[in-house]
Amino acid sequence: MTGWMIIGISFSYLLLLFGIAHWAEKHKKRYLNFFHSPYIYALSLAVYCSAWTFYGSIGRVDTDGLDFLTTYLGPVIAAPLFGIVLKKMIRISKTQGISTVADFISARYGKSSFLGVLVSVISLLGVIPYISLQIKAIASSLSIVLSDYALIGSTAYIPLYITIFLAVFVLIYGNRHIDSTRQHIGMVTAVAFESIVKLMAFLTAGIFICYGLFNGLDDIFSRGIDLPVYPQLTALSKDNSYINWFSMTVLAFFAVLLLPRQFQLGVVENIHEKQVDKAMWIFPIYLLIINFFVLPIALAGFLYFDGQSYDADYTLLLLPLKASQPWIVILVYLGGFSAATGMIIVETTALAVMLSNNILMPLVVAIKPLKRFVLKNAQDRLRSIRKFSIVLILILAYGYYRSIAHSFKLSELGHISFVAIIQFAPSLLIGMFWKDATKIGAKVGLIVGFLVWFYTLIVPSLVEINRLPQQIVEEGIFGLSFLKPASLFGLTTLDTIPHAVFWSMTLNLLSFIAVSVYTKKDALETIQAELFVEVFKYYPTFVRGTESKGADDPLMIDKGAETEALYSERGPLSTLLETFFGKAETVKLFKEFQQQHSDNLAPLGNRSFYYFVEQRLSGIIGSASAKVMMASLGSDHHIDLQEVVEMVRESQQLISLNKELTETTAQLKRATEALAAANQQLQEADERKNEFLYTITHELRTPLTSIRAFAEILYDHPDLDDEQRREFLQAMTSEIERLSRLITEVLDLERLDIIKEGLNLQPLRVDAFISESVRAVSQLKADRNIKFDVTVDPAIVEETMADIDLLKQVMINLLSNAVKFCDQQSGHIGVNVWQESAKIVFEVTDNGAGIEEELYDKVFEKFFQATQANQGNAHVGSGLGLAISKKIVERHGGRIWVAASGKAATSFRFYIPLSN
Amino acid sequence: MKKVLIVDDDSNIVLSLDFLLRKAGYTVLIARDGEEAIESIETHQPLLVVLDIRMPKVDGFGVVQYLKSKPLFKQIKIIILSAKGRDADIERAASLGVDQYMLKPFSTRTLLANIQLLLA
Repeated sequence: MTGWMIIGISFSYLLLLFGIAHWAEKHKKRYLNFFHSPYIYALSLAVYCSAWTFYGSIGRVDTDGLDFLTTYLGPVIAAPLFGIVLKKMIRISKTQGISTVADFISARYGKSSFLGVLVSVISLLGVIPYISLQIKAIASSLSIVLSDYALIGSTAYIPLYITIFLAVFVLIYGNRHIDSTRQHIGMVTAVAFESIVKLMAFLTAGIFICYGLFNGLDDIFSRGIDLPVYPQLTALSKDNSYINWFSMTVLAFFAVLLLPRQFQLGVVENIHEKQVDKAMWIFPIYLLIINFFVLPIALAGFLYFDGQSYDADYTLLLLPLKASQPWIVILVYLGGFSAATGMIIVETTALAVMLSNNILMPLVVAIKPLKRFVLKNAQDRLRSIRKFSIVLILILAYGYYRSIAHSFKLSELGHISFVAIIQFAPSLLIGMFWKDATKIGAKVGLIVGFLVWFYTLIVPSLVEINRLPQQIVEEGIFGLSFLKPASLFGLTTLDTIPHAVFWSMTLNLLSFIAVSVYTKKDALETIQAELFVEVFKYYPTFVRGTESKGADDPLMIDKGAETEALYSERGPLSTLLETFFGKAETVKLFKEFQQQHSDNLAPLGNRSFYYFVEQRLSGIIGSASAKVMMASLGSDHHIDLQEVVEMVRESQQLISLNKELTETTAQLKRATEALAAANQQLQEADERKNEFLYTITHELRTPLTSIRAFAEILYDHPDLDDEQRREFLQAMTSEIERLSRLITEVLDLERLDIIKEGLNLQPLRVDAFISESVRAVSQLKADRNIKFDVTVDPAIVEETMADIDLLKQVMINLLSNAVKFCDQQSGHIGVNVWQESAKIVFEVTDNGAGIEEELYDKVFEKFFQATQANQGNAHVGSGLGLAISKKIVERHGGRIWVAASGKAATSFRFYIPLSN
Repeated sequence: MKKVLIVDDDSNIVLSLDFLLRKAGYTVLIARDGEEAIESIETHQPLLVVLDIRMPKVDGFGVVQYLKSKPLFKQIKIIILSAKGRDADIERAASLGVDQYMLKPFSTRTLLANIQLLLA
């Protein structure tokens, strides 16, 4: 294997991601259920495990013991709360047109531009280094893998090329719609795939290291316990500080909800809230599994390298490399690569929306010439702004990687990023449940938290790389020792990160609550607070968000002509809409609005329509800019809480009504179909019944005709001689017998139809059964020369259960038919019984004229008579015997058929299954 | 003596009709199915046919169609005796030019009266 091959594999893997995303986008309608499944959603959430955890967890064991677990423990503890918190975040975001954490907080506090900018800035500052960290992980793992190969030229630029590839990916699949609230099926599917790759890679490497290099987990632990570092490796955290451990858990607990990439996948890419229910348990299980081998591998690293120095962050890669297992090395490398790329893709997508919607758009809206420029061709220019944001973020991340990032360990950077992100927790999470939280409270809390974060974590890092004087760290700023970044207010017992978590969160939370209590909300804040906190009350159903909504919606009442008419009254609003949405989409919006407000046919100049448009616009340019943009339309569309509540209620009721109607319609349709089918069946049954009755009457009329004729003859001709009188009377009797036989059989047939479980099961003794049946027909053959051959296979040992009386009816019917149809001169009838797999087979053969092959099935139909074959009255049966036999055999779970028919050998066979 | 052909596959019906018609003074011909009937008509040219519908080989309607298609036999009177009492059957018989349609079981006296009427 050459080094170039590994580079080739890296780029092939990236191409594979493109392929998957492309495939998913192309087939998203066709495999709707697959792409909308909770499994894809849950797997995509596992983007949480970035390269930082893939490689860094093992490195952390080295320095902080079991501290690495907190990164997973937090989310595992948070997962059960998804049902309450995440679902509420989703419902709020979908109803408000929110697509980022920044927009969420901005919208909650009266669509404040300032909050949007603040949150976006914190996110960018906190997360861009985190993206650099992924690039660093890719670069380091690559250089480790390539260290054995002397490559011609430099591989230093490979991370750059990879970053460019990823930028292209995000530009294509993370930036498909200018409406950022819409889902990116391709990106999500690719990320879910990456989650599988990294899990498989980690597990394979874990199994190889524990069972290939060592003799299993027990071996590693029994040897590891003797290591001098063992107590340190298995401590809860560095110095076994419980507060450290707890703070780190809290950190991860919030990060899993608030990290831009988690918000993107958990909220924006959520397709229906039911996905959350499954993700609630799949996601923690994923984390549990991917963690399983961390501690053993860390120990294995120590044991394997036995005192030599090595980079513990890359133990997972180094062990198979030293053991010369190129395939496992490549797999691990790809696992780490997938962890890094997945994170970069989603994080960049989310940050780009923040940067464009919450930082750049407010600028555009505020600066008149810029606004005019953008609005001239809003769709294209917005797209360009989004593209610019993506490229800028990746350039910053790459630049950061090139200039500073080497100076830090993987885990440090990750944690610094986490601490920045959890500053959103008070204003976002508490704001979702506490109506009295105010905009000023949120601002103050966030600023305080951010400053503490910067001072306690960033300042020391800058000092460390000599960008700031050493003295700040050693003596505190301005020489105030209680302001030392690592031990604020004299708190010296905590590590750097827990220390930062503690102070930033405490001060953030306290100032947020205190300021909120002492300040008042303005009108818009009041409305937004109400709509956020009581979202389930105002939006009892999850209404929009999927792509099917819109003109394709089958229930959409088409008011096409009216809509067009309204649309053509060109007001400033329709111009604005067309600017951002394009003409087709605007018409769709009108339709959608009318759908929700069916009695409201004049959207233009209508306040609810303004409100509706503003929500939609939020998805494109952010809540704050949407508010400013709508306000700039001139007329006063200020509305109070009462009005909003009324509007929301009205539209929601209509939507729920609509939903109910759809469901009811669907149910009705199903019921109608079922009824139609049942009716069809009934009609068919009815027709069969009619046909049957008609045939029966016909069959009854024939003997009755003779009986009546003879009776009238006897009555009208008293002078008949005795012989003739006897002949006629005998004919009458035989016709009467025929009649009563017919009635009995019809009743039999009907009875078999009606009785569902009426079989009177008894053990069947084949010998007795056959001899009794033969005896019953012997009267029939008395005056004729007919030879019977009965063979019962002695191998039949098993007794089966059967309704003997009914089964005898079948046997007698077959025998009497054989008697009727066998050769008139020298009749021969054979009876054979044998056992075959799990059935007993009965066969009756006669040497009569035979049955034509096309009649093999017909003979079992009701009232079929072999009329061609018989002309004499002696043969006339009811035509029901075989039909009845068929029913009886089938009731026993068996089958009856004509096995063969030709000159001198017509055989009927039936079997019944052996009962156990 | 007037020749009458009885066509039926039920032997007891044939037996009774044979007796009745002989007693009434007709020369009786017998056929058990449509083919025999056509054969008998061609050889004996009866004045009247008493015809069943449901029969093997050629059914009653087939016999009627044959008779009506031959100018020589067009004048032969036809009485259908059938257990088929559906309107469709009766209408079909009428449209084919059958003289009388009697539903089984029928009154022997009415049958004799009808034959007498048709041959008068």
